[in-house]
Amino acid sequence: MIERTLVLVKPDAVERGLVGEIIQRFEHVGLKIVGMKMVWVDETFASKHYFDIKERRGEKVYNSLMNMITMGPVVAVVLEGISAVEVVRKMCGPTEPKSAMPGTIRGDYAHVSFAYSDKVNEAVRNVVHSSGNLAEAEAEIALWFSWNEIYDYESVHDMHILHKKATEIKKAKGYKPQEDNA
Amino acid sequence: MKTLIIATPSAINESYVGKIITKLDELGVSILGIKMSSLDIHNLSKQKQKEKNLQKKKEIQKALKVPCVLIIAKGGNAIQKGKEIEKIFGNEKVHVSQNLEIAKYEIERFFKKKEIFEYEKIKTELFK
Repeated sequence: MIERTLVLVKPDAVERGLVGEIIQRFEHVGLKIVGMKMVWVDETFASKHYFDIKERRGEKVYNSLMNMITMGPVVAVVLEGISAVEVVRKMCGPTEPKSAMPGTIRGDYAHVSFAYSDKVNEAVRNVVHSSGNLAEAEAEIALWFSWNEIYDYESVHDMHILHKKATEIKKAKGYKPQEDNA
Repeated sequence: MKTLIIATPSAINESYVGKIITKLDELGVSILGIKMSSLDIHNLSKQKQKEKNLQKKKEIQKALKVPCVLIIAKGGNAIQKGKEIEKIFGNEKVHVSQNLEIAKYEIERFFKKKEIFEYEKIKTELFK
């Protein structure tokens, strides 16, 4: 039930200075950041990340994606939460920013269409990448992070969002519901 | 000019990481490196490692299990801008390098060379 998923803030978003705002959105829904780093990947690494794109979407898309992901540093973030994979997917919106609803990250920070990026022969600058499903999330986290870069720690999210230990902590602090004096 | 900004466990706990990075962008410094890392006990000064008081040692170890977010910022007057961030969010949430020498030392201590990225933000000719 509690899952981990990978989000990449892509080079276009890093250069536009959107890292903070995007991270803020995930923080505000109560997803816990358990790993984060800035990396500039080379083609060898990128080909591991996009290993199945050639088959799925063709050589042209693969090449433009490779160009895009290696053009500058990305910020990789591992997020933890209830059904994190699905929730993060929902927050990012569909792949094409033009058809992404306002309120989603792609809908709010980009508006490019597939047709336009095809015309100029570029990958769709869609601000973020997020893992598609649980198996993909696990594989991607293993690719981008080593075990000692991911942190298991307690935070306010455990208490207020997962209700973990909330009762014990309150008891230990001597919390009592206010008595009605009237 | 580079400086190191540390978003403390308290900032992470209270969901301030994004806000701190946004504020840095607003102040016009570029971010050359980010990583989540706990300030490892082995990295602490020898004086603290020799701490006789076991309780204190345990406290430190516990605190070090919780990660911080380390950020390298570069730009004109980066040190001054870092201090501004510290003023806005408070000493409990943000620690910054107090001067150039310390900044250089701290960045070398917490970051490997390959974790720092020199890149230029895209600007059109018009705005250069």
